[in-house]
Amino acid sequence: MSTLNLDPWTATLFLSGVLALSTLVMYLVYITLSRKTPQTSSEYSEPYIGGEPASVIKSVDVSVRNLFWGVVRGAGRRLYTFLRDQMHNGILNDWGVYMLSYIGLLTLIALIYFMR
Amino acid sequence: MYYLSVGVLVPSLIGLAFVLPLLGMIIKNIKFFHAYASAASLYALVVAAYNFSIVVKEGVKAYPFGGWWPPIGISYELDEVNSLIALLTASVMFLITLYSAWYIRDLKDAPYYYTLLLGLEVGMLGCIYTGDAFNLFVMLEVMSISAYALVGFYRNKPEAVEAAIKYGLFGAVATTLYFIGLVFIYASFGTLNMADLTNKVTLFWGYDLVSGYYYGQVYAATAIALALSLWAFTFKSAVFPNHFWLPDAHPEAPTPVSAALSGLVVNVGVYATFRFLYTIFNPFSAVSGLRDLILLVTLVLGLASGLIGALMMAVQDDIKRLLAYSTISHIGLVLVGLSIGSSLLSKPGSQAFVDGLTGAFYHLINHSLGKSLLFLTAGVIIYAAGGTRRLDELGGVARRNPLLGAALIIGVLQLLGIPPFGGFFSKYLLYASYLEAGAPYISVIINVISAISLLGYVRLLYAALFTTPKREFVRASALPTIILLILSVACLITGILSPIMSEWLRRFVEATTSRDGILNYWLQGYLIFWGR
Amino acid sequence: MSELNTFLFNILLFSLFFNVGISLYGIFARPSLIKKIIALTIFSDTANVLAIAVGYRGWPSPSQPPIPPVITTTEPSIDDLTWFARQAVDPLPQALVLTAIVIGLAVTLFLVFLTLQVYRLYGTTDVRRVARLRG
Repeated sequence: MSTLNLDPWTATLFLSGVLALSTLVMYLVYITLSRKTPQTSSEYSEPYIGGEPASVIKSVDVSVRNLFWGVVRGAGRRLYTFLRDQMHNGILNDWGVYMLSYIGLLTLIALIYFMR
Repeated sequence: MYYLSVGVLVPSLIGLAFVLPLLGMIIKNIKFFHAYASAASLYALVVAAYNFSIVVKEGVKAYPFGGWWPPIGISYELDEVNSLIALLTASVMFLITLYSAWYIRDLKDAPYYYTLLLGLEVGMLGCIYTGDAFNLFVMLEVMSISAYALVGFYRNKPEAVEAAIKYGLFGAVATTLYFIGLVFIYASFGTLNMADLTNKVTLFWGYDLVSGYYYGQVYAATAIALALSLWAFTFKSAVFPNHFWLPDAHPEAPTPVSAALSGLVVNVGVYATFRFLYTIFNPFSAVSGLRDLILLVTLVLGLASGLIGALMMAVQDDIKRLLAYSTISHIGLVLVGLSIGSSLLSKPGSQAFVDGLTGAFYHLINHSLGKSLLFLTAGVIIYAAGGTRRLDELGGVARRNPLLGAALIIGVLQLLGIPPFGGFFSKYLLYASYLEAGAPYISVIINVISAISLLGYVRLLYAALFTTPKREFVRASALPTIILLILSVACLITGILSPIMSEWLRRFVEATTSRDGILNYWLQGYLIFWGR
Repeated sequence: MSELNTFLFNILLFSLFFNVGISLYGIFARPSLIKKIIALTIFSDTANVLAIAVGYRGWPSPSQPPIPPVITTTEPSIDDLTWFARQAVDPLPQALVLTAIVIGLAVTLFLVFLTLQVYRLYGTTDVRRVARLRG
């Protein structure tokens, strides 16, 4: 049995080609086998969420705001409070602190190099 | 020796740009200006492509303005890397100008808009072509003033004016700091020509008949000049502590301008950093110790801006602001790739060194194509959704328009780094170079940055593709769709042809950063004129 | 005499760097946009004076001060040129400063216009209240 030796580069390209091809084949199979007319049932026409009909809830989808709720408001709460409310607060003078400390760092490096 | 096409592009394009307001007084038909601007940027594309072809064929080319030989006069100098970036700039700008014809089709101020847009292109091409450090300052200002004015183009919109003044105020500080850096360089080296500076810093020959020898405290002046110019360049390319203006300025500009700012203008800062740290103050020079320290700083800042950009993407509600934060993240990654040249990480010419720089430039190209594609797609999406930029109100626009959805997905996959798109291979090169350099932690952080940025991209895809359409959307015309198609195909090509493209880039990087390449930059840009 | 020259020159340089510090403080810490722009003009003028000072050459002797970089004879001989090159200040920084002044004028004008527009739209020039874009 012969083996195919590929470097990671070509292998990635080769594999993604194979994946694209197989996806295409699966999609074609799906199209040919799927039902032409949609199946309807009276039970599914009215979605219920938590005992309430869908009309109570404004949107059927989750709002984009609430994606990654766990990360943004749970685990990363302190990080995001710092990043959003203290760092990127839109006030010009508060940006200046970061910018000035950066130029201070660069000047310090220049001085260290000069003193050496 | 005289390569007219190298020198003629920038001045003639300035002329073409500044004639526009005068023409606007005579000609009232807006269609004329669409055609005029597209023709002008097509001209720039043709000349840039020609310059690239002669540089690839025959090596470094220079043009002295007014017949004043360097280092007396200003000269433009093209090597493989900057002619390639100029070609990228000119081609993406051409597509953006075409797109503008659709985007501002009814705007009365079209002549002024196109003056500024062509001014932006002139500034970028000038920054990239120039072989003179002071001309770089002038061209940075040309580019920056056009950019400030374009950000504040809707002058009755509070947010646009606010973003423009925040950008403009600190931008003026950055360029003035660069000017002070130039004063230090001139005081100690007696020259501002890049080729001559390269000679004097690297001690190829040292003494020069025109600009003399060294004056005063050369090391101190070099250190301060490098610190100040690095601050200015990282401001222009929006790297971590200097990134605050970008997420305000880029979304508030008209959408084609956002694509130009996010895709191309930030490249100029990266390119200038490359030119300063790899050609003028190169690894073989007398100041390599200072270089190591500075590159360590850029490495840390690149990683930090990659992380912060990716983290902030995950909480954005505005489609253009999300893309702007993604720019910060990607420029951080490019800067990480550029930082490989520190002698603590790799030796010049080694596998890691070449891989890292190749990865940086490859990622620059991929990011330019992918980000312009995404911004232009966002423009069509915003138009279709009736002018709203809030992700919540987009509600599955791309579902109703499959081509739009495909462009969006391709752009996201390109930036996220999913094979077979180019973004994967450039990130792979960055990753591999730091593994090779013996710093696996940095490779891991690069992967973590990609993983975190997934959160933001999922948000974008979810809002545009996976939510249920609640209302009817307006259909866009054929022109923007064709442009999106072209950019999508370009993204695909950078991926599928990646073995060839990365091999080319590797050759360019080796030719530009090797000792012979730097010597050649000096010889071709300086000595050859005097030897005639 | 030369000690006095050196002393005066050092005072000039010191005050320039002190000026840079003051103007950077003004740009980064003052809340009013107008004051920020004033500090910015001070900053760019300081940079320009610094450039001019770099072109200065120490006086050859107290009785022979340096001359402006202008050749006054229409057909200069070699001796004239030698004397000129030995006496004149460096003209290049002046050319640089001329360019920088023109650019600075354009930028300042544009920023002042934007500040006016900010005042019209926001009713204030206090940057702590001109902060609608955040996050």
